[in-house]
Amino acid sequence: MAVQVERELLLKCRAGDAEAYEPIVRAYEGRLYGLAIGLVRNTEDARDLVQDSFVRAFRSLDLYDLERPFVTWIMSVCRNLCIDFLRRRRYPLSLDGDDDENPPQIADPGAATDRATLSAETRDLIWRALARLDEDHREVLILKDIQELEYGEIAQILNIPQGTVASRVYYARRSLRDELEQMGVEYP
Amino acid sequence: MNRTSGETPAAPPGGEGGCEDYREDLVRYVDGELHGADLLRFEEHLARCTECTREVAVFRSLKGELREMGLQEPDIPGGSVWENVNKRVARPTGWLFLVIGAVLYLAYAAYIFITSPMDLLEKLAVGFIVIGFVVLLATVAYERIVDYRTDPYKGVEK
Repeated sequence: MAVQVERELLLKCRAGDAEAYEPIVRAYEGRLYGLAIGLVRNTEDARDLVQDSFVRAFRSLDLYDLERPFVTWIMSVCRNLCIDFLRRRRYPLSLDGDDDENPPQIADPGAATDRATLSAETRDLIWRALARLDEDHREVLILKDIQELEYGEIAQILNIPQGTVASRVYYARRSLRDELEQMGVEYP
Repeated sequence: MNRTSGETPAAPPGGEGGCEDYREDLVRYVDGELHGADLLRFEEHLARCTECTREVAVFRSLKGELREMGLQEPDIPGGSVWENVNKRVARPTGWLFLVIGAVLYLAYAAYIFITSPMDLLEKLAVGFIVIGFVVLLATVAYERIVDYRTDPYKGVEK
């Protein structure tokens, strides 16, 4: 979506025009779901959190700086809701059994030839390895390697310096490698 | 990614110390976000460091595999969330009209009550009953909200 079009739509939303929000929601819901499912690992919860993110963002549009990219702002809202959700779920009871054991399905893997070429076995393996990582490490890998955001964008979303993002990405990749090696994967 | 044939985990790559100063540069290099003098400095280091060269290869492999998971924009089960979002963001307008209408109606009822030819004592009695009822209702509602927010067991399914 062109930046100018997006800005005009957001200005209408700010004025209370809910219909102007539809193209915005449809443009970003997939990416938000990708972020949420990676963090909370449950399809129903991820869907609810995506909805909540858009509702929260709509009601807080007055706080949004139109000069900033909307995608990083809405992802920041979604990330914060996911983290709050995980904290609530963890306390007072740990409900680890809620996690989806398998990665989300891709409707038509053939249509995305360069994006979904891994075997089902490899996808399952990586999905399980991601589940074993610390929350901070999983989060930064989802933002960097799955959502393909730049360091500056991730720094805005997580509200940390870019150097900390780079350092966290480094340790997250090492942790993922270690987990995969423990699961029998060999790297050179 | 290669699976090992046996169940014994692969030995972790050894000798990873000594390159701590280059960790941030290394990931930025893998991600194509290292430029200028920093890039040249790291490439010089890379040319003589087998450990970092190996780590770059592993990180590139992991990055590729994560990208190929196809999770950047997965399909949402049940389709778009727009309908549900729309219901929730459009609803406040309805509530606003409802509240304005109720307030106007109550104000009109109060005006009728105050200007009615009823005895002053009777008006005071009815007024206190209504105010007492409203205060009790508000107190109970407030306590319920506080209880819900501080309930440590609200996450437990019955």
